[in-house]
Amino acid sequence: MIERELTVRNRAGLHTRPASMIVRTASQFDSEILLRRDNYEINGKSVIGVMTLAAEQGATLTLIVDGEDEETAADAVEELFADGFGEELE
Amino acid sequence: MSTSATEVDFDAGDGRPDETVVDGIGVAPGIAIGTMHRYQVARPEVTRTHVEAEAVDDELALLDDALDRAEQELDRVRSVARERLGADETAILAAQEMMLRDDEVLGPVRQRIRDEHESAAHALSNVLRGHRRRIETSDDEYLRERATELEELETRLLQFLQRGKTAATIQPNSIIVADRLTAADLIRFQRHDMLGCVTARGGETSHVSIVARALNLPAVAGAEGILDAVEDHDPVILDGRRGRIIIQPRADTLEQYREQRTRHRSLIEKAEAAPVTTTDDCQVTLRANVDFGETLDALDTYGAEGIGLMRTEVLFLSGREESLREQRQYEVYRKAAEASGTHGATIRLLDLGGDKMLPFPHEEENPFLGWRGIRVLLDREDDLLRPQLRALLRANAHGTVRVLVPMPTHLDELHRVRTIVTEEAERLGTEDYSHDADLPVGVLVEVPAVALQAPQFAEAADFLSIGSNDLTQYVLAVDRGNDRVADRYDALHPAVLGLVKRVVEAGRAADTPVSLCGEVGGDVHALPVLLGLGVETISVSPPYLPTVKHVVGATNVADAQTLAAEALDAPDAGNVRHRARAWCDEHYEADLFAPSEEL
Repeated sequence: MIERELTVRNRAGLHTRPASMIVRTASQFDSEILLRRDNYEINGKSVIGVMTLAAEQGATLTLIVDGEDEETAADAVEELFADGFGEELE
Repeated sequence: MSTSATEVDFDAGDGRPDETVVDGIGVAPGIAIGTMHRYQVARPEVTRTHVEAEAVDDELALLDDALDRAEQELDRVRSVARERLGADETAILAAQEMMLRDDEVLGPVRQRIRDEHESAAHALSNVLRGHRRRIETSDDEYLRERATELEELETRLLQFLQRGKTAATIQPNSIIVADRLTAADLIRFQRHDMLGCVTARGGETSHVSIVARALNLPAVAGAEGILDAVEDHDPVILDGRRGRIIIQPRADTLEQYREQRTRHRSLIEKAEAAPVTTTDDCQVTLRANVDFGETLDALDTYGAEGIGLMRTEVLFLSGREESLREQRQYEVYRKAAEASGTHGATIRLLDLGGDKMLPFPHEEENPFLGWRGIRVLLDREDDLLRPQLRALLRANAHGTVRVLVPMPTHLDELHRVRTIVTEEAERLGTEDYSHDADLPVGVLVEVPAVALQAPQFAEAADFLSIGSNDLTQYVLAVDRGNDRVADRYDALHPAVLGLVKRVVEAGRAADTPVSLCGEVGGDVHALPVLLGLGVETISVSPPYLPTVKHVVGATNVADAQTLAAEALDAPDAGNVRHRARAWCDEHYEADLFAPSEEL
């Protein structure tokens, strides 16, 4: 199992489009992928779940990945966050 | 198309002192004269909260049916608006589709139905309410607003669960006025013969506007104050070009608008499926662009000489295995072949990738330069390419089918498709399926490399079709879905025109037919430039055909050649547009543009 801290970098936060990007990426892997904010945890393969995180710019989330392909899966999701989902960072 | 049934009888004036004019932004041109229907997006009430134990299975089936229908509606939005949606809009549609398959949410809904015997509507509301509340607690205003997306999802599903009761309440021939509308609303209302729509909010780039233009429905957005100014059943004129709504119009205003509308309709009524002759006796063939599964009545209504481009991606958008089956494809292609008669139907092989979603999870750094069109098909020969070619070979026995290969770059790709056509034709023969192996294979000229190698492709292919939208995008390196650069996109750029000319000349030298499909074909000012470059077959969306025919019929190709030569030498697209406008003003009668602008 892998746990990593991720920060929402893009200005608009985890709105619909980034949420669907996370889900599309997460769904490519067999591992279980969870995202936690404070004590609230959701399935990273659920678009409505990701939207309920309501994570604004600067929010930190914990990514929890468990399964055979956990290493590549965690890297892929982390990259989306690092890249600000291809959106403006300022 | 609207007929005389849409004529609404009302006394102009109707007792009130004078007409009221409300201005907004004209987002989809056209004139509608009808009665106002105020549409309030009220959430359907959940009246039945529980079901009997033995009705649980029915209730679960009802939920699946509602989800299915919601998905079909999304497919429809995408199919009518496809290739006009920007990246953001496409992403939002994709997210909506994911929501309809979100098992984290649907699992608990099903569980409540099964274990608690809740009605599907009640269970859905309960579960979604919880998620909405979470989003609404956000400190960020923009994110808080995302809750409305869940609300819209819930409303839509509840409407489907009630089997369309809510949607059916609009009167035919209404002009809908609402605070805001969704693209799906518009498509639903269109089935009830809505004439046009007005929203108090929104603007030119909203989803609704794109869909309204695709459906050829006059629409005005951003008409602030409209809700206070109208009542249900008020007689109104909606002028989608000027962005104006006239409530309780005076008799003379009404007369003026009726005349304009009649003039436009007479153009359509004259439509027949025959080549258009220019003033100097050149023959131009006009065909229709249609979507897979779309009704083909428009071919007759607008007088198209067959289908110049049938897109087939809709097959995949639903992701349903069943729709991919050869038999299902065959039935649709057969209809297209029959509707096109001797003119024939050009059917494009699946053009997936780029901005068009793939039916399987796939992310790319640079999708427009990535795995799309024929590149996908050749990697997925057995499950995608072969069944499609078999279906086309079989449909070809019922008419004239032409196959168009999307996004080729290398001659090899064309050769490979031909080999597979031959192999599958042989197999169909041994399997005793009726088919016609004489299936012309053409290439879509979208990648600049193909235009540059036009002589070689013209030799190898049975026909060439210039896909001006993508060709422009690739030549100018501009994604027109990207707002920051979209204004740099113009198919009239001299570099693009130079390639068009090259392709046309290569086609002539090899005696290979060349056609053009793309939005520029419906652009009145661009038409003389294209004709001057030697384009003789143009394929556009059916509603554009009457205007295009009218303009082509009024053009002298010899004169247009002078304009084309100037355009090729012009410094930039802006300069070409300027020249083309001036040329049109000089060569066409002014009234040529009056009806065309209504489109």
